[in-house]
Amino acid sequence: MAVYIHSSVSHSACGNSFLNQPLSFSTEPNANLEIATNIENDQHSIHFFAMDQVPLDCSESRLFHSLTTVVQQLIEISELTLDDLSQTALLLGSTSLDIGTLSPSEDKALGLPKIDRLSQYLQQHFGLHPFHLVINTACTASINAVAYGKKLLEQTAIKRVIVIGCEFYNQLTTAGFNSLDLLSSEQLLAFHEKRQGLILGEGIGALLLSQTQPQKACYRLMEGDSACDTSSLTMTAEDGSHINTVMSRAITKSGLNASNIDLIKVHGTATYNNDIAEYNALNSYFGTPPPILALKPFIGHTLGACGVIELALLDYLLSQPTLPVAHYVAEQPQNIMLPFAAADCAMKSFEHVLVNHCGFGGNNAALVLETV
Amino acid sequence: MQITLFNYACFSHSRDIDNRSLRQQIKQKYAVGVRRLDNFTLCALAAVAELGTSKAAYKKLSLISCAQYFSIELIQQMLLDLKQNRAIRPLDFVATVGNAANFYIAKEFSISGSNLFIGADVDALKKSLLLSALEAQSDKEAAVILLIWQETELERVCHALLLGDTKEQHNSYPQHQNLSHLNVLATMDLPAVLEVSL
Repeated sequence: MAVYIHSSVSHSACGNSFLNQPLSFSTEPNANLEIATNIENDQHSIHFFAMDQVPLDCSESRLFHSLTTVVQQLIEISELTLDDLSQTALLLGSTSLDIGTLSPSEDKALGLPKIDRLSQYLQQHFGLHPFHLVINTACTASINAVAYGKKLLEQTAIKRVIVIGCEFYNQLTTAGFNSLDLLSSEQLLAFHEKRQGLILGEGIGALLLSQTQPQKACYRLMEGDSACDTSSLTMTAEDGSHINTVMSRAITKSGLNASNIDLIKVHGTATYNNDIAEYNALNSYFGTPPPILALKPFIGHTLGACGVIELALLDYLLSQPTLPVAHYVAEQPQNIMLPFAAADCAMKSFEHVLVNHCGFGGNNAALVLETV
Repeated sequence: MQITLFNYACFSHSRDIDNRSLRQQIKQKYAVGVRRLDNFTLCALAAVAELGTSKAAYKKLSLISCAQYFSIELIQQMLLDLKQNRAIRPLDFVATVGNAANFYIAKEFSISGSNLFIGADVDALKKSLLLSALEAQSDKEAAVILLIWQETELERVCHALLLGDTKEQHNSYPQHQNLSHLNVLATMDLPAVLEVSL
């Protein structure tokens, strides 16, 4: 039984794909944030990839308005009726969810909203099927949501699944990543030998998964795999062995082998350890890896949302004649660790695409797409 | 869709108990690693330990855990630190990631299969059983440990279920339909076949 990405919308630093203007793939972060350091009264500035055309703050109104807008846009392009919506399940993947809108409560007993607040809001607002939930597995959250959305369609009577990946600017995440020394003060140089770290980003991705093939070039979801690497809470095994296992299982379950993969959409956070682990995994599995495509240089690391936002961007790129390739790749080829796909390639020319994601908590996930 | 429930256990603790006391209690009773773990994780660790050794009989184990809330104590403390301009400690920040509890449980009990942390409130049992059934169907050799936390102002409970694909030889097991309350599990004759629907 085939499951397709029927339609998609993304809203990130690149713009909103629903609007009638091309997305802009720039490696220049569009926001600077002041962040407190560990030294009293000292602040420093960090880069951030904010959603295009949405003034940056932590308000509930900003979060709910932008989330509702993207889901409404997905419903509109998918031409879903009220009856369709009532048979559409919802899976939402995110790391920080609504945490930016919360205040500490003196009542430590139950002073927080429930984890599924956002999915419940969307389910009620749009009259979706009662099956809604949130997946929270750090940076693999929304790619896991896609994988389980596929299983829901294959094994239950559910007709459609909306999968959301969302991440919103909040002070806890920026302060937390700053405390881990993972942030770059310049650019996000994925798979560059002199990379300095990641730049955080925010955004919303929305996919409609369906067994109905749309009347346009699209992706069929082949198989995926996801597992927990218990070697470290914050990073996967640096030798890439766990990523290798997950990738190879995803490819084998898809009925393919290494030589069938034409393009790898890498996780590519540009942190020292993560890129090394992924580099080792790709080299050990493929020998000579196929070309890669990295999207975080243009949208930042959108954490749990990155799975769906980056899939929505891949879906958008299917209709484009070229690929986004960061300028540092051409400018400093001697420092590039893996072969990037050429900018003049069309996305639809790649038949099988491997999508990789790795996260805190040891979660690694991979999914194979087929262009149809 | 069906799934077989092989074993069930639960662990609860008062919300008043301090972290150090709970760590000591669980370490003494179950001989598991408890260093730096918060009460949310400790509660789940104890529930899985209560499930016993029968899980070792399965070729592969997956972990699905379902909560209404994140680790409330941790998140509240981080929000308070942020409000009062106190420095965020890296390990505290990483521990707030929802699946941090899953990481420690997977490490302690050598769980190498899928690993999912989900948030669900209404119909949490139904939803997480369905995901477990999807998982068991995809890998018929794997057993799934399903954890479900329940929180009140006074108490935190973690329910642990050992589940697997329903096979033909399970026909003789008692069957249960539309299971919606976790408290039924404690009184059930096991193994049992659960009918899972949307």
